[in-house]
Parts: sequence; structure tokens; C-alpha cells
Amino acid sequence: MTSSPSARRRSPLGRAAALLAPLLALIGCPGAASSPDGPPSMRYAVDPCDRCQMIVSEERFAAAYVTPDGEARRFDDLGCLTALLQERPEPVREVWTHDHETRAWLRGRAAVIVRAPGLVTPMGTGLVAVADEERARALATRTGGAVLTYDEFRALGPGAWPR
Amino acid sequence: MDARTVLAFATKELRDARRNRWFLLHTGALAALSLGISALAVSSQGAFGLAGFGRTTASLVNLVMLVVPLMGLTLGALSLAQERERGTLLYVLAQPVTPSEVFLGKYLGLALALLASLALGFGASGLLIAWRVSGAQVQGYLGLAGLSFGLALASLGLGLVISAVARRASTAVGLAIFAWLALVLLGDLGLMGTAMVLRIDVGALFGLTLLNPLQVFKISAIAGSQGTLEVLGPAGVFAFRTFGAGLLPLLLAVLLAWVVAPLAAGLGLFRWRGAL
Amino acid sequence: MRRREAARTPRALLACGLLACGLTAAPEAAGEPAGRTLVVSARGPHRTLEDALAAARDGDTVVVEGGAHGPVTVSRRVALEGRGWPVLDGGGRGTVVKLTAAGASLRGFVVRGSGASLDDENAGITVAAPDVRVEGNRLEETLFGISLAHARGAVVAGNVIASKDLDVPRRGDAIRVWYSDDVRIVGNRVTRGRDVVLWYSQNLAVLDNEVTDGRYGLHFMYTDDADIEGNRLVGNSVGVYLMYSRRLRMRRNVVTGNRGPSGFGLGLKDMDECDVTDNVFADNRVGVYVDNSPREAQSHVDFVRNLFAGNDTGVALLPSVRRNTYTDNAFVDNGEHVGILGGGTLGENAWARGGRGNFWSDYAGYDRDGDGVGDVPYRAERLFEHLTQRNPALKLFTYAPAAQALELAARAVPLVRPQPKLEDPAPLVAPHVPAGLPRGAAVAGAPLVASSFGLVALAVGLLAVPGALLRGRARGPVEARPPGGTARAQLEAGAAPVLSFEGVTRRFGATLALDGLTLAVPPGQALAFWGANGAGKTTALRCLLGVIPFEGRVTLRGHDVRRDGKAARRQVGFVPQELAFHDDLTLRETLAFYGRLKGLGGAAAEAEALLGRLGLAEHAHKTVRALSGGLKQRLAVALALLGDPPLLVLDEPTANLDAPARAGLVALLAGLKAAGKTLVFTSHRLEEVLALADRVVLLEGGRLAADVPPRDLGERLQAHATLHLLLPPAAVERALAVLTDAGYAPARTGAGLSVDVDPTEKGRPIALLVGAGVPLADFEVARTGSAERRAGPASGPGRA
Repeated sequence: MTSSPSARRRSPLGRAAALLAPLLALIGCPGAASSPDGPPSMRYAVDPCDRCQMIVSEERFAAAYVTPDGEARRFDDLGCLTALLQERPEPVREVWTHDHETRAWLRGRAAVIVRAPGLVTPMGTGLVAVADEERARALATRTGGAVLTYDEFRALGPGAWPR
Repeated sequence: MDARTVLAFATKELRDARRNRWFLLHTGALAALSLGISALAVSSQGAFGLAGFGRTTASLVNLVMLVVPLMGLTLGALSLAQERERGTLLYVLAQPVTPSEVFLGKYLGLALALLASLALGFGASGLLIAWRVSGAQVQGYLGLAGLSFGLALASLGLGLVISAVARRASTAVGLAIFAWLALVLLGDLGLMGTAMVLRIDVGALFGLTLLNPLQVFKISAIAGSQGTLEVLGPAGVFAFRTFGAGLLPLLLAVLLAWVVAPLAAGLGLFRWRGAL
Repeated sequence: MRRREAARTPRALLACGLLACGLTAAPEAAGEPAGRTLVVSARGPHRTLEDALAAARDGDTVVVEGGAHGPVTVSRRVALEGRGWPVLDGGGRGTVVKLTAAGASLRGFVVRGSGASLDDENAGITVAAPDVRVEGNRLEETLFGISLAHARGAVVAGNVIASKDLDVPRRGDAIRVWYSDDVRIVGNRVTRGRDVVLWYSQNLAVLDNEVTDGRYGLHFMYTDDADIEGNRLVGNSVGVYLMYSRRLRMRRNVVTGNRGPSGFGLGLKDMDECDVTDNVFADNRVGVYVDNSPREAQSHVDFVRNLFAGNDTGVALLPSVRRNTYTDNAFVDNGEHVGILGGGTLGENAWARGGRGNFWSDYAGYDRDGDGVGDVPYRAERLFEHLTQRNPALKLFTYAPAAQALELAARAVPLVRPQPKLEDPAPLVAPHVPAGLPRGAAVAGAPLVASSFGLVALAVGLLAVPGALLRGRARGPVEARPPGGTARAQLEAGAAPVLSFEGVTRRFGATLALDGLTLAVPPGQALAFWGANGAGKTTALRCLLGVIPFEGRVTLRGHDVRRDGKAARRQVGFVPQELAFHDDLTLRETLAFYGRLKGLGGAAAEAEALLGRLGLAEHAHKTVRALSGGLKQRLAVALALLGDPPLLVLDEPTANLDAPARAGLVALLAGLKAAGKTLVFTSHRLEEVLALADRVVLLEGGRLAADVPPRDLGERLQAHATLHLLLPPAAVERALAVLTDAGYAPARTGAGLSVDVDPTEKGRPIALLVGAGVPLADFEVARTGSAERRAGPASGPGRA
């Protein structure tokens, strides 16, 4: 019994560490990262809007954009997206909107924007997107709204909405 | 492996715990402090007419992080080392029992002793809270108690790892207290310093934090009682975003790993080291 | 929750009934011609509500007495009054009640079962005309609750709204006010809705409502001039969110437990001219969140006499926020009283006005002049908060003891104290507690009481049980075991060995403690290990018991001690050299414990018999600590005999005993041997070996040196004796000369000389020295094994 106990004590800790290492490696790496080119992850009823801080609850109104370095900004209302870009301009790699009717993600100019004052969107801006001109016109007619071009949509600012 | 033998050691250990000054001291401290925290909550209920239960939970989490690991580590560290020093371990192993039965019996007995201690502390404060604070959430409270027991088991396992190799009780307790300091203070302070200097990204910081069972407990308790980790800042938000609904199960799995790994390591070491 | 509602309902109804009387009585009393009253009941005159409505004219009242009815649209100025809770059921489709006529009212109905389409905004009740009253109804299982659009002057009072139990993203708003000025929302109780929404409307009164378990308790947007008073907002994601509005007055509200995502008690975004007074913000994630409010230079946001208690953050401000005033508030036990969102420093806000600041629960100053205002300023300078300001990721360590340790360090060492986050020049020394706040119904604490009692009972049970378990009660007859007496017969018949060592080797590092020991012990034999300290005797016994690792093989009655240790050790009763029992157990408990380890259950009969046989019966209740050495040794033997194992292994059994106890033990062991037990023991005493052993195994340096009958051991020992002579230093030389001349080979020792002698003439050197006149002080004879002899004459005296 001459070998020093301290020399032995190290090995159990080492063993424990070895046991835990794979587990921790698993945890350390973010598992749910969305693909770099797809729409950003969105957790409804949890994630706050990056402009108004309200909780994003409804897919059909939610929108997002992604910056060139891959950061996502999430919005409960398309109007919040344009408002943030007006208040705090920054480069945008891609804008993502939802088809108001099918709930599908729409990339950038694939969206046709309808401004429909009769629709109660989360921030009351009445801005929604659909995937094609035809449905956009139908929606505009139904709600007493108007179809916007993508650039008209981008040009909107917070002052443009009713107070 | 004979369950009756394990049970014999467990009951013996449970009985010994009642006469163990460390155990009594810790149990008393835990009960007194948790009662104190609850009394504060109750008095603020009286003074302000409101339920400070969320804040009470935070204080309890804090208390558990301090007291429970100390309890588990010292009890665990003492159990085998003390018997080894006295020679009773050799005598016990000369009986028709296996080392695994001795180890698991002691583990079970101490785990039950810790359970008793926690049940007493949480039970007494729960009564106090229920008496005056309306809207106290029973699931959250019991969840916290359950997580505390998980932490107690993890630290008990670590204590037994020490005990499996230490020859003297005093060495074992010394190591246990050092381990406690490392878990409670040194590790976190080191990590905080590193994060300040190196600007570790939040994912890595979160991962590194899970190396500490105390933090696993804390994060689980918060995730369990609040549903999100926003109170933990960007790293918490990152974790919640990354793992979503899987976060709590994941944290529980890590806590479970923290229970199982030291137990397995301790058992292996004890079988290797034997009675001497 | 249900019970709570049931308990509350009568009171709420009474309240809204009174309210309704007061409110509705006024216009009727004003002289407007009273309309007709149409009654709908099973007895008629109107059998269906549709009939009655079709017949009703503006100004009529339709009284509905109970019954179940379908969805209705009220398109005339009719007062619909339910008696005995008539039900309007939408059957899960569309909107249940549509009020489209100015001045219509709906009172006392159960409105149930709207559709679940968010797109179509299916609701319990929609109002699309001015001056409508919706009072004292119960809404159940509706998506949207009460939805007002272009409904100026509406009154929504005393309704109870429980929405469909859906995930938050699929819920509708419990109350929605949309382009409707001069609306009063009073005394409603809302649970599990999404939001209570008040948008694009001016001059609202939101009074005495209770909103629980929703998303946004109250959400104001583009709504100016509103009073928000006496409401309770509990357990929502966010209590109150006020946006893009001005002149909102928030008084006497209780905002607690709002801890969902974002978790604000009150959020202010782009607000102007806002007064927040006498509210309680407690147990929220963030008590109050302020973003860009006030917006205008001439505007203000004032917080006066509010209580911020037990929030993770009391008040959270964006760095850009300025011109907020905080006076006479109490900040009590918040995780942090004031937080800065996103880092940076606080803007210019006033923490005191007119010489009065706020109460801070961690204020450590004093008030010598007794004016209620502390004499030194309050500074928020917590180190951990400061660090998280600089690196928000560190918030991960919130609630960790390490964070508190930093705080303590900062208090003790001013050097590491950070820049104060804010300074209150006139901190109050006592908190102002808002009075007259709305009280919630008491929630029964029964489940917590029950579980807490359960926990305490569990603790008591756990700590009380083992005593009983250890006490070892008799449990039926002892199972029959083969009597040990047959062993002798087996010995004579040349039966298989009880014990065998095969090449047993034990190393400590480079040292061999046991080196290839091989031997077999037949049943009934008594074997003694003999050897010097370190020769390997104790190691051999430990290997035999399998309590230390070794190479080779030990079998006990055919059981390999390493592979099948349990069965092997069941064949052995062990008496250790150092008696180490659990001191605080009584003898009886000790026997019961080891009995259980030996798989005897609580067989008390055998234990009692052993206690009696070994003369321990009268001591059975004593603790082991209280026993004398002799009694302890007897206890050890009793324990070894538990379970009647065929083999007894004893390590220096008499080492710690006095002579009478020793003799007693030897007699006892002789008796056991006569009864057929196989004995393996170590001893330093020749007389014991002679008295007990059939066979002696001599160990030298871990190796088997000889395997002989005991009397041969005596002879071997006799053959080698060393005489130690104690001499005065002056006499040593002469003695050396005398003995050398006589043919001896004496060696110097510290106290004189030692000399190997023939055991038959040990006196001869003494006689020689005495004859030569050498002054011999004393002498000692040592019997030694051959190993020690070989080590040379200079070695010290061997142990007898």
C-alpha cells in the first residue's frame, strides 16, 4: 500500500469526465440551427417581435428577415418589419413572409403584399402576403384593400399607418 | 446481487444517518433556512397582500444549491472512508456479501436519508407557504423538491467517488469540501472570468455550464417553473431557442447522467480499491 | 379553477346586477316610453327566441326564461334579458350572438360554443353598433369572446369569459375593442383568453376587471385618454402592454405573476403622458418595461407610489429612455430593482422629486433626523449586475452562489465596486404600500398542504423505519442446517478440502506479500499460520476471504472466492484481529445485522442461542462500545458462528486478551474444533498453536517455508534461540572476549550483546560471564524462526 492515494484519485475524475464528454459534446453544439438558406426558426407564442416586443403568435401574420451575417429578425406583423427597417436601417439578405391563406413561407419577391385595413393583423397594420397576384387581388377586393408591389411594400413606414 | 442484503445495508445506513452530526446539522440548516425563506414570503404576503411565490422559488433554488451538494458530498465522502478507517469495512466485506451490495446499499440508505432531509425541509416550508400564500403552485413546488433530490443524488454519487478511494475520513471530508467549493464557487467564477476575457459564444458557455451539476439543477428548476430561460439572458434564450420543448427533458437527462455517472464510477472504483 | 369561479359567481353577479340596475334605470327613468315585454319560455307566449325577436320592436324587452337556444342576431333596439341562465349555443360554428342595432342589450345569458376559425374571427358576442350593453353574461367555449367594432359608447360589464382551451397561437381575443370610443369595460372576469385588446379607440374606462392566464392581459394601441383602474392581471404572459397612445392613467391595479414569454407586468412602448400610480407589480419577470416612452420632449411618464416586489427585474429601461420620474415607489426584493436592457447606461430619469425618492429594500443607509428620507443617497451598484451589463451572457449565472459571492466581495472590497447604475438622492426608509387594491378570490392551498404533509410524513417515516428493521425480530424457526459435527467423519473419510490455496500471489507494488501459496485444508482440521510480522499471515487470510485482489485461486468448499465470493464467504466465520464493529449497535442488533448479511433473515433464535452459549446473554442489550475486550472477542466469535459455517478463520484471536480471557477463548475454540469445525488461525503464541492446531504452516517472506505438525514447530523453534544479554557499556568488551573464547559468535546490540545458543543449554553463556566476573544486569531469551536467524545476529530480538 505504498502508491500515493492522490495519484489514484485523479483517475476516477478522469473517468467521470470521459463518461460525460460525449454527452456534453452533444449539448454544446446547437442542434436546431435552421439551414443557412431557409427561413429562420420561429417559435410561435414564445418568440418576441424584434420591433414591438410582442409575442409572435400567428403564423399567417408573421414575417422575418435575415441579415448578411445570418442573424434573423422576427416580426409578429409585416408592418413591424418595414417599421424596423425604417427606424433602424440595416442590410437585408432575404425577407421572409407567410402566405396569409396557406401559411407557407414565401421568399422575398415571391410574396405579393396586400394592404387590407379590414384585416386585424397583430399590430393593426393590415399588411399580409399571399403567393400569387390572383389571390392577392381577390383578398384585396374582399377586404377593401389594395395590392402593393414589393417596392411599395418596402417603402412603407410607420407614419403610413392610421393613428 | 441480493436485494435483501442491499436493503440491510440501506437500513443500517439510514439509521446511522440519524446519529450522524453532519446529517443532523445539514438537515437542521436546510429546514431552518427554507422555513426562513418561506417565512419571508409569508410576511411579504402579509405586508403587501401579494404572493411572492416566484421569488420564493428563486431563493429556494439558491439555498438548495448551497446546502444540498454539501450534504450529499460530505455524507457520501464519509460513508465508506470512515468505515475503512475504522476497519469495519474489511469486516463487513468478509461476510457473504459482494462489494457492489455494500456500495449500493450504502448509496440507497444515504439517498433515502437525503430524501428524508429534503422532504422535511420542503414539507415544513410548504406548510408554511400553503398557510398564507395563495396561488402557490403545487406542481412547481414538488418539481423543485424532486430536482433537489436529483441534485442530492448527484452530489452523493460524487461524495461516494471520493469515499471509494480515500483511506481516511478526514481526507475524504476535506476532498468533499473542496469539491463543494469547486462546484459552488470556483467553477462558476472561473467560467465567468473566462467568458469575460475570451467572449465565449453563448452556446459554448451554456454547454460548459452543464459540466456543473449545480447549474444543471438551477437551469432545470428555472425551465421547469417558468417555462423559459429568459431570466438567464442570451445564453438561456439560446438554449431555449435551440432545444425548444426538448430543453427540459435534455436538462433532466444531463442531471440523470450526473446521478448515474458518479454512481457507476464510484462502484467501479470501490470494487477496484476494496476494503483497504 | 372551476371551484374558484363557482365561488365567485354569486358575488360577481350581485355586483353586476346592482351595476346593471343603476346603469339601465337611468334612461328609462328619463321618460323614454317603456317598451313592451315579450317573454320566451316553455309555457309561451313565445316558444322560441326567434319568434320573440321577430315580433319585437325597437324599445321592447325580450325576457328569456331558461332553455337552450341557437345563435341569434339582434338587429333592433331590443333588450334581451335572460332569467335562470338561458343558453345561447352556437354549436361550434360561427359567431353565437351578433348585436347590430344601436342601443340593444344582452344580459344574463350563457353564450356557448362559437366556431374556432381565427380567419373568420368566430366570437361569442360581436357588437357592431353604438350604445350597446353586454352585461352579466357567461361565455364558455368561445374563440373570441366579446368583440366590439365601431361600437361607440358600449358597456361591457360583469361578464365571465372562459375561452376555448386551446394553445395560445390558436386562441382568439377574450375582449376586443376596435374603433370604438367612450367604451366602458367594467368588472369582467376573463380566463384563458388570448388578449384583451383596446385599439384605435378614445376615452375608455377599463375598471375592476380580472384577467388571468392569457397572453396580454390588456393591450392598448393607438388609444388615447383611458383610465385603467382596479384591475387584477394575474398569470398572463404580459399583464398590460400600452403602445402608441397618450394620456393613459393606470391606478390601483394588481399585476402579478405575469411570467410568460417576455413576462412584463406593464410594458410601455411609444407612450406619452402616462401616469402609473398606486399599483402593485409583483412576481413578474419584469415589473415594468419601458421602451421609447415618453416620445415627446414636453411629455412625461410618471411612476408614483407603486410597489415593485419580487420581480426578476423591477423596472427595465432601454438606455434611450429619458424623462421618466419615479417617486414614492417601493422596490422590494426584486432580482434587480432596475435593469438596463441591452447594456449601456441609464438615460436621464428622475429617481426623486421634491426631496422624495423611493424605498429600496437593499438600502443600507440611515435616517438620523427621522423625516422618513435616508440621509445618504441610495446607489444601485451591484457588481454582478454590472458584469451582466457588460456581458449579458453572464446572466446565465443568475441565482448561482458564485454571483452572490461576487456581491459580497464587492461590498467588502470597495475597489471592485462598479459605477452605480443609478442614484436616488432621497431614498425613503419605509415602503409605501398601496391600499384599497382589488383582492382576488382566495385560492385553496389544499393540494400544497396535502403534499407538504405528505413530504413531512415521508421524512418521519424514512427516519423511523430502520430502527424497527434493525431490531431483528424472530421470524419462524431457523432453517435446518447440516450439523457441523459431520465434518470429522468427512475428514476421516478423506473428503474434499474445505479450503484450498492454489498459487496465491499478492503484490504490493514490487513487494510480494504472498508468493505462490498452495495448500489444502480438509474438513475438521485446525491449521495455524506461523511467521514473523510481514511474513504474509494476515495477507493469506485476507486472500482467503477474498477482500483483497490477488493472483491464483482460493476455493472454499469448491466455491472460488473471487468468482463466487458470496457463496465462498458463506462457508466462513471470520474473527478479525482488530475488532471493528459498529459501536453504537447493541449486541442483539449487531447479531441481527450480520445475520441478515448472512442471509439468515431475522433469525433471532439462533442469535439468542449463540449469546447464551458464549455467555453474552446478560449483555445483549448493551452497545458494543460498552463491552470489555474479552466480551468483544466473544461477540466476534458469536458473529463468526452465525449461520453455522464449517470453517472458522481467526486472525490473532488472543492478541488483545489478558491471560484468563485467553485461556477461556482457547477452551472455546478447542470445543468448536471437537465439534467438527475447521479452524484456520494465525497466532504468535506457541502454547495456543500446540493446544489447538493439527498442522502448522510456516510463512517466510510470503512463501510457504514449512508445513509441519505442531510439535515439530516446537522443536524447530527450540533449535534456534537467541540470548540477549544486557550489559553495562564498560563490560561489553570483556563479555565479548569471554564468549568468543568459549566458541560463541556474539554480536553487539544497543544494550549489550546477543548470542545464538543451543536451546538445551541457554544458561551456559550466563554461567561463563558470571564465572568471569562480568556484571550481567539482565537477560532475555528469544525463540526465532529460521528467517530471522538468517537475517543475522545483529538483528533485534524476535517476537515471542
